[in-house]
Amino acid sequence: MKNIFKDAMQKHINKIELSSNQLQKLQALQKNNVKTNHKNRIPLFVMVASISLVLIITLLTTQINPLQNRLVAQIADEVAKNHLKLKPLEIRSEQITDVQNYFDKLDFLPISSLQFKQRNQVSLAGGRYCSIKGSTAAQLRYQQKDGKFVTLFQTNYSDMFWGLPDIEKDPNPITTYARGVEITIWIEKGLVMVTAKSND
Amino acid sequence: MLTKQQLNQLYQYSYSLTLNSDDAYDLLQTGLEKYLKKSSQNIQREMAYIRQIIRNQFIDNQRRSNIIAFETIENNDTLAIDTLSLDDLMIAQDQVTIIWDIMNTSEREIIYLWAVEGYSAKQISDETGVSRGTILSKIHRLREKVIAKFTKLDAAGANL
Repeated sequence: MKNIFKDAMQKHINKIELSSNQLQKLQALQKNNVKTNHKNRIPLFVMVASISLVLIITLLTTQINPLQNRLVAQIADEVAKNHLKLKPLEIRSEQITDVQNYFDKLDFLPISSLQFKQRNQVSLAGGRYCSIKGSTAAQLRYQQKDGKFVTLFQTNYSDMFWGLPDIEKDPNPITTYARGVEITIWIEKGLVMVTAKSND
Repeated sequence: MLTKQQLNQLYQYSYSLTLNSDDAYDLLQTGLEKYLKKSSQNIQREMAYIRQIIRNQFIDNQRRSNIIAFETIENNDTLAIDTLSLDDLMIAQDQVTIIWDIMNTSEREIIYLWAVEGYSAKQISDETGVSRGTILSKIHRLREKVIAKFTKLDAAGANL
């Protein structure tokens, strides 16, 4: 008796089967792979994100610190120079409101800094216009009990001052020395504050 | 994970290529390992994809042994009219093994894809990457070969 060729071939091929032992091995191979994949497979985006994070941290530690150090050194040098020159005051008053009123050409309002008051036992003497890194600034001069002057420079915060510590987030201002003058730098209420104090 | 039925289908395909149960199992295992390494990717038509891996692996193995796995056929050979030309053939079940054994690798592959997977010449062409014309040439030759063998077998049967 003859069958249709296609059916006969199909029947013949379908008889070819894996042994139970071979089948078990192949099933085990798949199971092991699933386990391995679950253990080891890290989504691509996680890998990319991790690598990016490492690169950013590396950049922050290797690139930003030198940039910040250079910025601090430039500010310190400029401010120390101004402090030592002790140019004549343009407004003399012990009242911060008088001094604030004088600085009407600034695009910010000079403030009575809490941070500065906490660190220095001083009284206001007056102020004058100046600049820090080309940015118009207010120079407030204070006098200590021993007669020495402490200068507080204030200018509006801009991107060029990025990286300086904001006192609301970091209570430790940067302290350094330039031209023998102690310089302290921080950001307070959106203003860049720099004090210059001669210790000797 | 592939089911028992799918594994058996792939084994049958591997056997169609190798005509040896041990070689077929080795081929399937290697193909499966390669597939599992890539299985995290989004793979469509999974079975066709694995068959492609198995096929490529088989060709690589044959090349290493300096064996030509799939002999070429000139396209100007006589063409069959799709797989329909095989549909009218009749065969006794006890003759199947004899016919199966006289087929070459590409003929067995075509028979597997046609008889088990139900593919047309166009679909076989798409899966194997061989032109439809070449597939039709192979089918025509296969038909001639099968008929010639039937004639011999029938003649031998009549003489008994």
